[in-house]
Amino acid sequence: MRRLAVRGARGLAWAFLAVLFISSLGAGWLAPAPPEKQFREAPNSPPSRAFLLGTDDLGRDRFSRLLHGGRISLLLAPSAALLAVACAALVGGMAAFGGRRVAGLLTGATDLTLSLPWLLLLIGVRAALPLDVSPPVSVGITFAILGLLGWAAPARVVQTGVAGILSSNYVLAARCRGLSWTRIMVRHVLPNTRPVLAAQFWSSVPVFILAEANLGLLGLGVTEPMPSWGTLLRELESCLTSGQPVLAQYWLFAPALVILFAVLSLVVVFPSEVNS
Amino acid sequence: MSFRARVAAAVFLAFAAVLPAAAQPAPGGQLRLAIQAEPKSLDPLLAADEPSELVRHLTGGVLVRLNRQTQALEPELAVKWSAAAAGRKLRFELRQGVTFSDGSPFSARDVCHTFQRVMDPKIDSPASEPFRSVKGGIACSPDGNHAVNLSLGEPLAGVERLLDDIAMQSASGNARAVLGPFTVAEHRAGSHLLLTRNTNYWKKDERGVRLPYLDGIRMELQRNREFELMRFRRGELELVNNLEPELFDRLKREAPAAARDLGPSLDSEQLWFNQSPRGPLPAHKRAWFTSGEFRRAVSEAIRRADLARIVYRGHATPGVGPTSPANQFWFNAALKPPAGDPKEALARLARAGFRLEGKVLRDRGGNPVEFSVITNAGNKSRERMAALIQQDLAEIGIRVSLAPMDFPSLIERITRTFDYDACLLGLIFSDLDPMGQMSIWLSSGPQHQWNPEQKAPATEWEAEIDRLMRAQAAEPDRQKRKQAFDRVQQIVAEQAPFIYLVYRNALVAASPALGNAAPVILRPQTLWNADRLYMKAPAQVSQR
Amino acid sequence: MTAESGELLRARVSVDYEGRGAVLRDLDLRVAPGEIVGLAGQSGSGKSTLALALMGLLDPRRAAVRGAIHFRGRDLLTLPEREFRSLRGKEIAFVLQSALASLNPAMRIGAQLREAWEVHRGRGGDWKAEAGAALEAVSLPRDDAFFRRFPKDLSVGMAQRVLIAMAVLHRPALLIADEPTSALDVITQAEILKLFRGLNAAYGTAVLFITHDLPSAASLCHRIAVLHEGRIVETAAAPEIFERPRHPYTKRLIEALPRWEPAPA
Ligand SMILES: Nc1ncnc2c1ncn2[C@@H]1O[C@H](COP(=O)(O)OP(=O)(O)OP(=O)(O)O)[C@@H](O)[C@H]1O
Ligand SMILES: [Mg+2]
Repeated sequence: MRRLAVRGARGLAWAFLAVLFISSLGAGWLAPAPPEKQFREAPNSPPSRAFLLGTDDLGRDRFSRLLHGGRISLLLAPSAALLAVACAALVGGMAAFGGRRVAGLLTGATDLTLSLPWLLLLIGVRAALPLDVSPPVSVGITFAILGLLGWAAPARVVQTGVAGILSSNYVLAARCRGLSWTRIMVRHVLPNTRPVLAAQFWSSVPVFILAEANLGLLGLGVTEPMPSWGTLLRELESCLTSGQPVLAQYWLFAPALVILFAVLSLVVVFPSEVNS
Repeated sequence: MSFRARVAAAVFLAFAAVLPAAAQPAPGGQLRLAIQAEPKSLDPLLAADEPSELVRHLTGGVLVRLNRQTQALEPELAVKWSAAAAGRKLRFELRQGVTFSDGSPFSARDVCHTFQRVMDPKIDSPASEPFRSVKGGIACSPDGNHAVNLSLGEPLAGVERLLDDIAMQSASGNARAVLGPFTVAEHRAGSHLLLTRNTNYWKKDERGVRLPYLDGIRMELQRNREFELMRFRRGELELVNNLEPELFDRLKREAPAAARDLGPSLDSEQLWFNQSPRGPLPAHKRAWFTSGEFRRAVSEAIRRADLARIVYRGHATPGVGPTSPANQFWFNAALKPPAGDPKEALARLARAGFRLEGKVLRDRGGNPVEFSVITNAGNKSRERMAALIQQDLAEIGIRVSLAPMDFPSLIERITRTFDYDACLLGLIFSDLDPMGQMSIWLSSGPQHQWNPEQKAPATEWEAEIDRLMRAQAAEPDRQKRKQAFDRVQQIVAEQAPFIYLVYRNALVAASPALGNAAPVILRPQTLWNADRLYMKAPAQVSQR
Repeated sequence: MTAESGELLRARVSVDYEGRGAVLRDLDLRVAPGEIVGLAGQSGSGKSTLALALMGLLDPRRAAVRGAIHFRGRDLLTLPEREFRSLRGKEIAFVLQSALASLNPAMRIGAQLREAWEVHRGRGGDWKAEAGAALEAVSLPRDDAFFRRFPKDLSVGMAQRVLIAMAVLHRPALLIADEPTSALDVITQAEILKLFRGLNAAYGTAVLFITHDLPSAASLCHRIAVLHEGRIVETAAAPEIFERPRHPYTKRLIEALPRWEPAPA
C-alpha cells in the first residue's frame, strides 16, 4: 500500500515537473501575452478570461509572467544552489579533514562570510557593475552572487557533517582494514556526505528564488521588465505585509503554490538523496 | 478640468467643509496625530526637518504669516510693514499687548534678539541661509518698544516670506516662552510629544473667544504608516497627512468622508539626462543628452497621464514645468504637458538626425539609442514610473535599462562621479517663491542637477535662465518678477533639462469629528489653522 | 623478557590524551602466537585506547604514545605509515566495539567485503570465493542476495559476524576484538565466542579479546590480563584468576560478579 502511494506521488511529481518545464520552455507560445506587455487600461485587475491570474500594478498579465518567470527561476535557482553547495562541500570538507590550522582558517573564513555586512558589499557590487546591464546578463550576475554568497551557511553544516563522518566508526574500521585516506575519502566519506549536501541543495533552491527577489531592493537581481518567480513572490509579500485582507486577492498565492509544488516535486522525484 | 479649475475646486471643497461645522466651536479636547520621525530639535531656529518644522509652526509666533490657503502674506505679530530704499530698509510695526506664554510682554527687543540669534554663525540656523548671500548682512534696530527697522546690505526679493520661518524668541532668554497657540508640555523621546494650549495666545475668534480652541495636541511617534492608518480608522488619531496613494484608496473605500485628495502639491517627479562634462560618458551619448531636441522628444514620448493614473492611482497630476499648478501666483498656465505621442516624438527625432531602423532608433553615426535610468531602489512609485517610461520609449525605438540603487550610491553618482545616463527623482518644495529655487536654476548652482556648478553657462538657454533669475531677484515689482519666471518656466519646458513628469497630489485624512478642518496642499496641511481646529461634540459628527 | 621467539606481540606503552593526562602507564602486555588473551577492565580503564594504540590509529594530534610495540620482531611505533597500512587488516585485524556503526551505511555488504579483500590482494583475485568462505566460517549465507544487502538490513549479531568475517579474510596472525559480545543477547554471545574458538583452532589466529565481562573471557581465553589504573595488574590462566586472584582490584572484580552458582570448588 505504502509503496503504491509513494509510486503515485512520484508519478504525480514527475507529471507536474514535466508540465512545468514544458510550459516554461514553451512560454513564448503558451503565454497569452508577452510578459512585459503593459495593458495600461487594466492594471491590478482580478482574474478574468483574458488574464487568468489577473494583472499586476502595471497591467502585465500575471499568468504570462508566471510562465516566463519559470524559465529563469527553474533553471537558475538550482544552478545557483549547485554552485553554493559545491563551494560548501569544498570548504566544509577541507575544514573538517584538514589539520587544525586549515580548519581554523576555513571556519574563520566561513564565520567572516556569515558576519560580513553583505548589504554594503552588495551595494558595492551594484556600484561596480555597469548601469546598463541587459536583463539576461543581470540574471547571470544575480545567480552568481547568490551562489557565491550562499555557500557559507551550508559549509558549516557540511563541515560538521564531514567531521562526524570522519570520526565515525566505519571510517575507523576502514582504516583498520588498511585503506588509504584517498580511498576512504572517495568510497566512504563522500558518499555519506551526499544526504547532507542534498538537503542543503534542496533547501537552498526556494531560498534563492526568494533571495533573488529581495536583491531587487538593492538594485541587483533580475531587472525589469524580465519576470522571475521572485518578483511575483514579492507582490504577494507586499500584499501580506500591508495588512490587507489577503484572501480578497487569493490569486496572488498562485506563484507561491507553483513554487511550493515545484520544490516538493523535486524532493519527491529525487528521494534517495534527501531521505536517510 | 484645467489645473486652475482643479485648485479652485479644492479650495472650494475646503471651505465647504468648514461651513457646516462653523456652528459653535467649543473650546477643549485633544487632537491626536502621528509623526513619522522624532523632531531633531525643538529650538525653532534649528528646525530643518518636517516634525521640527511642524512644532515650530504650532508653537512659534512670527511677524508675517503665509496664509496656507490663500498663499498670501498676512500680518501676524507685525500689524504693518513697509519697504524703503529700494527694498534695503524694512520697517515693522508690532502688535501691542501681546505677551509670551510665560507672561512677559513682547516688544521690539525680542524681535532684534531673535534676528541676532538667526544670524549668529555659532547657532548656524537654517533660517539664516537665504540671508547669507546678502552682501553687507542684515541689521535689526528697535524703534521704541513697538517697531523695528531691518536693514539689508542689498535688496532681497521676497524677503517678507522668509519671516514665516522665524519664530520670535524672548530676549529674557527663557527658551520655553513662545508666542504661538501651543507650548511644548512634554517630550518623551521615542514615544510622544505633547503640546498644550498657550493661555496667553493673543488671537481671539470672531465671537471674542480666546484661541486656540484645542486644549492640546498629542503627537505620537509612529514610523509604520500602515499602523498609523489603522489607528486613524479606530478613531485613535484625528488626522493623517501626506498619505500614499495606495493607503489613501483603501481609506477612501472604508471612510469616504475622511479621505481627501487636495489636488496637486508642490512636489514634483522628474527625469533628467546627465549633461555634465565631468562624467565618463561616451561622446555619442553626450551628444544625445545635450541635444534639446532629443530631450524634448523623450519628454513628448512619455505618457504622463498613464504615470498619474497607473502609478499614483489617479492621485497625481501631469506636469511639464518646474512650478506646480498648486502654486497659485507663480504657476505658468500657458505650459501644457504633452500628451505622449510617439509620432510627434519620432518626427522631432527625425529632424534632429535620428532614424528608426526596424525597432531600433539610431543616431547619425548609426549608434543604437539606449540609456540607463537610475532611481532610488525601494521607492515603488519611481520604479513603476521607470517601467512605464521604459515601455513608452521602446515604442520609439529607444532601449532603456533600469538601474535602481540605494540612495547614497545614487547621490554619489549624481553629485560626484557623474557616472550615469539619466536619473529619475522627486523634488520636495516648501517655498512658493522662485527665490527658493536659485540654486536649481543658476548654472553655477549645486542643485542645477543636469550639469551642476558650471563656471560659465554651457548653453545659450542656460545663460538666459541665469540672466532671468538674477533679474527677478533684483526686481522689487512682483508682477515683473512673475514675467521673468514665466519665461524661465517656458525655457525649461522647451529645453527639458528636467523632464517634469507629475506633481504628486496632497492626500490627507481628517476625522469628521475635527471641526474647522480645512486641509491645504502646503505643509503642515491640515494643521495650518491649528488654532481654530476643535473637537466636535459627538452629536455634531455626521458621517457623510 | 628475553624469550622473544615465543612472542607474537609485546607492547610496553604509555598513552596520554591531551588535556586528560595518562590513560595507560607503562603497560606491559604479551601475546603468544595462537594464544587467546583476554583483556579485562572496567569501563573507561583504557582498553579501547590500548587496542587503537596497537593498531597505530590513535589520533597523533590528541594522544601521545610512548614506549615500544613489537609485533613479529618489528617496532610498530617507528614503522612508517605506509608499511603499517599494509599490516592493518592483513596481519593484525581489529573488530571495533560497535558492530553496526563499523559498516559504511552507504555501501553494500559485498562491496565492503570486496574492498577489504582488494586492498591487500589487488584486483583480479576471486574475492567472491574468499569472502564467501569467510562468511561461511561465521555461519552467514554466501549468496548474491546477501552481498547486495545494505548494513541497515542486518541485525547486530549478523553485522558482528560480517565484521569478523572481514577481519579473518586475510588470515591475520593477530585479531583484536573490542568487546565483540557486549551488545548481544546471551545466545548470540555464546555463538560468537564459539566462533572465535573455532577460528583460533582453524587458522591458528591469536586473539586479543577485550571485555569487561570476566566470565565470558574465562570461557574463551587461555590467559586473562586485568587492566587497572593504566597498568596490567595481574595476568594469569583463566581458572586461576577466579580461584586465586592476587591483586586486590581483581578480587573486587570477581566479588562484584553476580553469582549464578556456588563458588567454584
Ligand atoms: N580521544 C580522547 N581524548 C581524550 N580522552 C579520551 C579519548 N578517548 C578516550 N578518552 C578517555 O580515556 C579513557 C579510556 O577510554 P577507553 O575508551 O580506552 O576506555 P575503555 O576501557 O575502552 O572503556 P569502555 O569499556 O567503556 O569501552 C576514558 O576515561 C576516556 O574518557
Ligand atoms: Mg572501549
